[in-house]
Amino acid sequence: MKNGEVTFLVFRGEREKGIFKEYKIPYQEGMVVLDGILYIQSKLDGDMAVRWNCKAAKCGSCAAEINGKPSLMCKTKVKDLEQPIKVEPMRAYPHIKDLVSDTSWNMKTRRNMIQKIGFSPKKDANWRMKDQDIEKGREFRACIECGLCLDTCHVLREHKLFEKFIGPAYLTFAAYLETHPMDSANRLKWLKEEGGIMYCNITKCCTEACPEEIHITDNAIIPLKERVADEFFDPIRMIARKIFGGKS
Amino acid sequence: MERTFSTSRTDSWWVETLVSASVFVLAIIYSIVRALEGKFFQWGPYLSPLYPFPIETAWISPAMFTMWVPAGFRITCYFCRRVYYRSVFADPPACMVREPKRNYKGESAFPYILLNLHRYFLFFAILFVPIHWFHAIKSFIWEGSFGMGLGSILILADSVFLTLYVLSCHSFRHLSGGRIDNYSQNNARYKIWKFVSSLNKNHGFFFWVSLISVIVADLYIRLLSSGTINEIRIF
Ligand code: SF4
Ligand code: SF4
Ligand code: FES
Repeated sequence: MKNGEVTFLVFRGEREKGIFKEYKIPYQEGMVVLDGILYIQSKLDGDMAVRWNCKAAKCGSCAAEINGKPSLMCKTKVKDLEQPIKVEPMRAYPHIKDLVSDTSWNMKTRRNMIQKIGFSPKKDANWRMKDQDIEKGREFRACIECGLCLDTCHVLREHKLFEKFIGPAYLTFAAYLETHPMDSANRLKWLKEEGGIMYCNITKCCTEACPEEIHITDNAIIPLKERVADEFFDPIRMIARKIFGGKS
Repeated sequence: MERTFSTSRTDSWWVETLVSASVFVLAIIYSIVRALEGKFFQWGPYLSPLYPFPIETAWISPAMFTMWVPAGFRITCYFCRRVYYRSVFADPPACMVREPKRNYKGESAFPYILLNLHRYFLFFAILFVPIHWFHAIKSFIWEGSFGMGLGSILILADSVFLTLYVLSCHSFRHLSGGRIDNYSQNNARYKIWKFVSSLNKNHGFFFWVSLISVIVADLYIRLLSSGTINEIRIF
């Protein structure tokens, strides 16, 4: 912080076209990146588009790329960052304006999943669950759908497979449904064929990005891949199923 | 945003990629060279962990008979996949770093779809664990009495790390209880799964230390056996 001042480089523009504009603003103790952006919006450039809501790392609206890392602006402290602080919208998604990307794909994907492979309770479900039974689900439920893992996932970001791959956040949602002890549906075929789980090459960028610290790859994706392998890629198990029937 | 390897990241993201690529590639070269060399696997009470079955043949290196197990287990290991996708194939080179253009299919098509056979390699790897322990114990027996050299420690360390690496495997975690959803009705499986999960958190670490320890132990025995160095006998 030189002379109590912080330098921001903020992406300004529309529909992917734009430039990084420099702003120098006064530093305040405990400042987070969102404070800086809101200062710029209220004092320097009133037309800057930015999405935010709770300022408590719980709504997921202020997701952006800060010095090239997927981060929540309200959770990222200015004093921990190298200057100038480069702030960009999430680049994997179509750009709208300044720091705002079009994340409607998220809603579409979730809605589609609920329709096709939604929760389907067992007939005799006993809803008095023990701690052990909700352990896995609790982690997955922490997802705030900020989209940071989707932004960093190279399957979407680099290879643009939005039509074929539901991405880490929704694989986490699928893991929640699939591991729910009261659920009766089998989504493995859907996950393999529609959800595109095999496109994930378990390189773990999603896990690194998640502000809720969900172990997306280790706890959601790999266990799902193992279940898919049980069903489709394990010849011995497949033969055993043919002979003995059932869910071996 | 356009060029391969371009990024807005300001940290030294390439360090991890470069270091893991180097260690990984060196380990592969070393193992291949040793398998082709086909000798210097034994010295005193020590048998190299690269060569856990003392099979004698004249026409093929004995290491070839067994090396497909650790090689196959590692190549199909979920953590190892992350290592080579990132550092060897740059797919991606690091998070948020542009990668070379390619027709990406991930693990949905041949040959990577075969990596799903990891569970079978796990089966053989589990069979190997007691054999490694057998040789670790033997390395403490010097002409009938208890003794210890630097080699004994290296072989023991390798057995410990190999065991931790195998027990923390993701496929093992799945088999041990990850397949189950209603844990309150399967308390025993729940406990095993919890234990394996706690090891699984450090699976990457165990991958690296077990890879390095097997090479260090083998190298030490090779140098003893070829007469390059003398054993450091502790008692
Ligand atoms: S681990 Fe899979 S889902 Fe997560 S970022 Fe990597 S490729 Fe995407
Ligand atoms: S899994 Fe984590 S990073 Fe992904 S959307 Fe949910 S909270 Fe955000
Ligand atoms: S996942 Fe690494 S050994 Fe099985």
